[in-house]
Amino acid sequence: MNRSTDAELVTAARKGDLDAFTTLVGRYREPALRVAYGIAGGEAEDAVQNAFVKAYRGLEGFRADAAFRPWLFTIVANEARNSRRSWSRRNRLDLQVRREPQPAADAADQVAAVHEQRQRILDEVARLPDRYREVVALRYFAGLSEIETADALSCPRGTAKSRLSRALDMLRAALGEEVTL
Amino acid sequence: MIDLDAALFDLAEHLDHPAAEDLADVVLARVARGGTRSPRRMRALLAVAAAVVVLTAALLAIGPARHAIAEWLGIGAVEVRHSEGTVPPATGSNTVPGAPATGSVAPGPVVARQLGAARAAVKFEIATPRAPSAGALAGVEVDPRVRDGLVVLRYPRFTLVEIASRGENGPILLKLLGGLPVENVTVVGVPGLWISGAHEVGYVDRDGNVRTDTVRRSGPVLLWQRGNVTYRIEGLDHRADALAIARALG
Repeated sequence: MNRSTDAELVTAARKGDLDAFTTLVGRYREPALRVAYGIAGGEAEDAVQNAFVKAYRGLEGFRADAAFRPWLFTIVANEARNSRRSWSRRNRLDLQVRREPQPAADAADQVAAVHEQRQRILDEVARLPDRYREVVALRYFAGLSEIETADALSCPRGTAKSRLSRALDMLRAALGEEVTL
Repeated sequence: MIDLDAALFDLAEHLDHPAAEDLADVVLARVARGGTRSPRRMRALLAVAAAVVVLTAALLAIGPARHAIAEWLGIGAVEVRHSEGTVPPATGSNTVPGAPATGSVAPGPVVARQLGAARAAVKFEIATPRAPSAGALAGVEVDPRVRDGLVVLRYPRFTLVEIASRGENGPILLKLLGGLPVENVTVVGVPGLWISGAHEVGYVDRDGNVRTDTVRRSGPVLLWQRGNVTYRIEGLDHRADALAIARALG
């Protein structure tokens, strides 16, 4: 596991160190894909590829004292939005809830229930309108802070906050009291 | 009360997607290709896009060797030039791919210490010696200033340099200053050269200027071309040793 900070890796990558950039790609590959699938469904993989390539190209202009993560996710979100096609007709994220390894017999029911609950939440996230799904993907699937989420969406912080609040209200309404996690 | 916040974070930890495993490789391959670079860097790279390897020597001229080089490399990919005199000492800060790593020399423009990343960054199949005598791969460097790529593989006893040398790269330039002991050898069925004695390696840029960022090297070199790739083994004192490694290239 490479323990270098993002800033150290960015500095090295700017000097042409491909390993450093590879480490950054490895570090953010999964959250970037989760966000992109959350925003663009089946177009996500190309969007993430494009985003990383653009990030590399943009490293020279990237302020060394700025945080890499929100900057990268701004690019990921933009690429995902740009590649989103016919979303309203498909309503599919191409994301799945991972199956846990075979549980012990006495825990099987509980594991199945948890899995089903996650799946219900994912289904409801998939039904959210674009602007609400985007904010949920960035905040939860990538783990950005509310401020970082607003930056990534290039919108005022108040807008991101109220949009997130509205998204959660919609999810709660759709899920009722089913969520017990 | 629903803790939807926690439920969504939990969901994120349990998501699967169909994206391919090789995403990083694809990204690196695209990054290593010219079109993905910023204009500023692109201009700098264009200056050496015709990247040519210059072998210079400071010993006596040997006519037949000169002829031999022209004969086996003069096939579009390589052009041989001659000049008298010696190469000026190294003054630049950039190193040349394949140059021995020394404390006084900055690393090359692109470094990739993982073979997988290197494979994604060049457009040819990287060959590695399959012989116990080669020892373990100790370091990998990639230089995409050479179109289609150049990779430097460091082993405990020697360095293997593989250079994409397709015709459209422009000529690979072997510049012999004065000359040096050069022998014709057969490397796995193809003609090659064994260059012993001190020499230097540098670039000639697209405008034909010899770049002064040369690095002096003292070890002999085995040089040959197979398909679209030019191979160079440096650091082995004995020709038979170098030929054995060349034969072991998969």
